[in-house]
Amino acid sequence: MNVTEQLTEIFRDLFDDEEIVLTREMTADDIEDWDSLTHIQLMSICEKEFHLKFSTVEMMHLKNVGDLIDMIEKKM
Amino acid sequence: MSITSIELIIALLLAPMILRNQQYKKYVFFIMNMILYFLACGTYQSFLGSLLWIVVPYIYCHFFKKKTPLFLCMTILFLYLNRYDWIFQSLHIPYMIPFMIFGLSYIVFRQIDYVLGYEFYHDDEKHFIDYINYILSFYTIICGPIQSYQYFYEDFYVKKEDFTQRQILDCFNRIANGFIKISLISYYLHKFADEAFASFSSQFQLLPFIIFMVCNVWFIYFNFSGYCDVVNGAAKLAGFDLPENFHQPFLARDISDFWNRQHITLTKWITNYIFTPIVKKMMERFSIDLSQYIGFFVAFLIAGLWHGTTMNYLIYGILQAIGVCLTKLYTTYMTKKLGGKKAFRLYRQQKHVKVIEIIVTQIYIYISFIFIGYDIIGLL
Repeated sequence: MNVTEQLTEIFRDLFDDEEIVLTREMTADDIEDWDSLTHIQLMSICEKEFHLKFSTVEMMHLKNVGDLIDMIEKKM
Repeated sequence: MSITSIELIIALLLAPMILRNQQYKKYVFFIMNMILYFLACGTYQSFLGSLLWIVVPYIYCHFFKKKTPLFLCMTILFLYLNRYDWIFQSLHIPYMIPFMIFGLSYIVFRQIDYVLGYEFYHDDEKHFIDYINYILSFYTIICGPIQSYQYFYEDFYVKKEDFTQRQILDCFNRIANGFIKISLISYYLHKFADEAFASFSSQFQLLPFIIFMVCNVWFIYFNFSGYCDVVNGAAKLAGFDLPENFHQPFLARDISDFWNRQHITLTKWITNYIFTPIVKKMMERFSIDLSQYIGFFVAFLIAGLWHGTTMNYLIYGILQAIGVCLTKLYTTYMTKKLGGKKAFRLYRQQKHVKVIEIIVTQIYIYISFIFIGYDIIGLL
């Protein structure tokens, strides 16, 4: 499974929606329940699943799902 | 210096002519910022002290990676310079610095953003003049809005398209609206709030108290959003896009929604730099629910104390945290009761639910905002 597929699984579990299909341009505005708290949950799950750490500033600089994928791939 | 100061108004009018898409705007803007900041400080002592405060974190970033010692010193000095009497008087520490730093509250937020993001900047983004322009921009020095350095830098160097006449008129319209809000509407609201406060402060009376609560909240809104209209409109004329601070806060459906509509840039800053790290850390030990409640309390306590130096602001912060926690409890309870998020969303779309939620939120805001600008604790 590549990063995008793994992330899709994570998103579907977290937002309890099996129909989510991730695109690089997708942002928090595209998923109704994606607020600051679920964003923190999402980051924590990603840290555990991919065995890496995100700093506060790195989390802040993410503009869309594409940025998240790039950051995970860069850190792996 | 205030938004109606003659020197600031001159700068706001001059800036579009000498800054918009100019080759040397970085240097011209720097000179304007330094002159206006010097005038705002009023004395050489204050100006030099302020420069020291501004330059030290910049130099620190160059040499040290660990930020904690810097932030610890800055926090203690911030409390000392802003004169948090109830802390330092109880510790019997006298004041030895005979001046205050103009705009310190907003300067600190920008500095923290700059310092934390420093390792992510390219070398050409680290110039001292850009840093000073970011920290001391005369558009945002008085009351924000709070931008991140990345946002400021990208916006500053993007070439802006030529304005249409319509766009210029829109900007002037916004500036004029802003001045009307500040000089006329908020002036009278403040006067009414003052008079109502005076009439119930000796002996409690319900009607003046209600007038005071309502006028105080609307005064804060008109005064602050008026200021934002002036600076955002004027900045746009000069080719700068400042972030928006208000989005119809009086249509908020709950307290959480209210803070996503009122002083938006402060909410974003607090969410990014206080709430997120705290909740992330707490989640390692506690449940997600408990972690978020701890996060709300810490974030709003800091936000409350940042707004003012007295205990009134501490109470104000606690009340906001309680409001957001109640919102979360209400959401969780209703979601369970109605059988899922989808059902709760449908329930909230009903007109009568909308109206009730807006009214309840308004009442909570009126009550919790009485601690802003007035010494309510002193009356008790």
